[in-house]
Amino acid sequence: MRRPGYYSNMSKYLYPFYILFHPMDGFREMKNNNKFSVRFANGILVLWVLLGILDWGYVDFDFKLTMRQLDGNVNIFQVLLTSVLIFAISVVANWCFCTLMDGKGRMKEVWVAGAYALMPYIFLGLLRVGLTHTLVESEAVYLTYLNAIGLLWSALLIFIALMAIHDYSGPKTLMSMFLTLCGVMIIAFLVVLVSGLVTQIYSFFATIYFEIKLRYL
Amino acid sequence: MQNLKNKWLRKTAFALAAILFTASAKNLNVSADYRYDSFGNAIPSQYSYVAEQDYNGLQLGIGAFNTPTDLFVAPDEKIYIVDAGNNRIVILNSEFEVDRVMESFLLGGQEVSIKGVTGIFVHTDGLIYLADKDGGRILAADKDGNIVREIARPDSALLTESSTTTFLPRKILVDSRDIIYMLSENSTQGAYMIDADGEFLGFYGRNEVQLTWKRLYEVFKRRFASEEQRAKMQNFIPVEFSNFDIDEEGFIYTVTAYSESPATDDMLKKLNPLGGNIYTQRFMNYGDMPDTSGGAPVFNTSYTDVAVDKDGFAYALDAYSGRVFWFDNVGTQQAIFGGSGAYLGAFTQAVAVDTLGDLVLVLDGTRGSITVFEPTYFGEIVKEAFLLFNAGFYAESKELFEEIVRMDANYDWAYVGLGRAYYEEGDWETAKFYFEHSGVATSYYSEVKEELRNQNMKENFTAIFFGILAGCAVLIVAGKLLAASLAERRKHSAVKEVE
Repeated sequence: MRRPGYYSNMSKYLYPFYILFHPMDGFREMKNNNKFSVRFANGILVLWVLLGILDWGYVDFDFKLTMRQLDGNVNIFQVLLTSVLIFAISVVANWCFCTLMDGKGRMKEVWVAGAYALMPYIFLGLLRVGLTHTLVESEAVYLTYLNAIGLLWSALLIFIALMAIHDYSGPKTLMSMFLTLCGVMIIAFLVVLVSGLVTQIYSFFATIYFEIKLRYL
Repeated sequence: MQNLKNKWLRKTAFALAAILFTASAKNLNVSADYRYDSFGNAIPSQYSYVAEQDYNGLQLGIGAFNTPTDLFVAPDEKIYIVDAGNNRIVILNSEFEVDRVMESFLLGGQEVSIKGVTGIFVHTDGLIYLADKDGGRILAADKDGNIVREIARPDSALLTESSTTTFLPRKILVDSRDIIYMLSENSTQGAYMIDADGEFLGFYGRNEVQLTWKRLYEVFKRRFASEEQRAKMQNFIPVEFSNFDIDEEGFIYTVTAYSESPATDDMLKKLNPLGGNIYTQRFMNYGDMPDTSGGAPVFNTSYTDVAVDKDGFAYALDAYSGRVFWFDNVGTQQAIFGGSGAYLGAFTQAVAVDTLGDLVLVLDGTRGSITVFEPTYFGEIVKEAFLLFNAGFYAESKELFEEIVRMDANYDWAYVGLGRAYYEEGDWETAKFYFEHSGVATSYYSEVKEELRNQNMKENFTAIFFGILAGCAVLIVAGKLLAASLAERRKHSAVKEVE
């Protein structure tokens, strides 16, 4: 029988791998014993960006299915937008809602736990991209499975992580996840709105400047 | 990326094509051959067919044609033109000189008008079959104009009276068993099969209604609609064939005028004896890509005729743009030529197409002229190369594909052909390069990759085997060491706790 704190002496950098296979205990201990590493979490996010780049531009030719992959011009900003930026927005949204809903988690904890929970998807994804260079079309089903396993595993880990970090029950976690989704949309909407406004204001002043410059200077 | 090594070229080509498209849409008399690449971009190509000569009735010395409706090249290489407005059939020999003009048609001693004839077919036995749409009958005339057979709507239990079983013969074919295939105006059931005795045998081939989300929604809505609402709703009726042709082996090729998208395989079909489509859709579309210049995409290609030459290459004529779409004998698009306009090689109202040996003849209904397209050197080698390629003679087609690529570096299927030739030679690295370079999604790339993989495995078996062994050993040792160090630390902390 494993008692709490059994792995409390494990290195900070090995601990995430323990969490992968023991999420229930792992995330709870992580919270209780303050056993998380922001540096490791950020490393995972860097790997996520790398996965985004590789998945876009470096999949082997017979596994290029989307026009984007066939075109092959990797847009690093789009990769960042769909990985790290959306992650950051989700963490902020989750923290906002969970603080209102008596969640115990701090933003740092949400950030780190979220990154840890994404490990299966990212590592299996990197493995998948690597395997496209060896496997052939008839073996594509293995890659599909690999991707599906990574996604399901990560989804499960995210759920458990949020439950442990905020000390929530299952249904409440689901509720908070739904609200997080709404929050992400609201934030995205605000970002678009603000950026649009800023562009307009900028162009307004730019017009005035050029008008004056061309007429009087 | 390797398959876009000529990306610069492709981009320029695409820009050029875009300019050409807008130009031709405004009838600026700019025409150029083009082709769609595997990305769906229009790519200018080398000229495969060029218009050599234009023949009209005045040049031929028989008076101008008046709304000719169909053109047919008989097995004896005589060209039959239904000059419906002048109530005559003009027959030219293969040198484009007037052979004879049939001006009177007698049915039981009485003069018959052929002003309503819209389709002609000349059988190997010399009988001229005419589809008389206005008369609602099929006529078979001998070479002197005596009508030996008249087929009106057959009495058959199979042919019930309905709006989709009209008997208004528009186009006609006869196969080697003397079975008449007839396309009737407004009939969506496919071609009527009528045997030599005038008995109705059944319908042959037809387009299917394609299932789309919109249609599914309509079906769902229909469940909740009242009788009156239902009556107002749109019915799902398959689109009728606009024309067909028969090849030397007896396969029937059909084209359809209306389609919702270029990807619909109803556009051009090669039918087996059961009426199923033989063409597997190797290419992503059969017509022009939708025109988005006016906002929403509009799909305009409307095939009005199809011709199949002796090698099984199909030429589909688009009435909207006056372009001829050229497909090889397995349905891969090879070139698009012709156009709309008032210069040689363009049409005001293209109505019919047929092949005479290597020549392609297009009949313009408004101008009353026949335009003769002749294959260029490039067109000839394309045809030869793809004939060999599709028959499986990959090594033999290599030099031809090299020549094609030399003349037109954007020919994506030519790279597939080259890759296939190298694959056959056992040069898998080069083959792999060309399959990727082509940008066409074929299974060849995977096949050659598998060959390379097997080869690597065979050659480096020892290295791989011992590498895996060594890897396992290292992992096991590392795991043991880690466990030991963890146990050590745990002991330490336990001691600390006790203290």
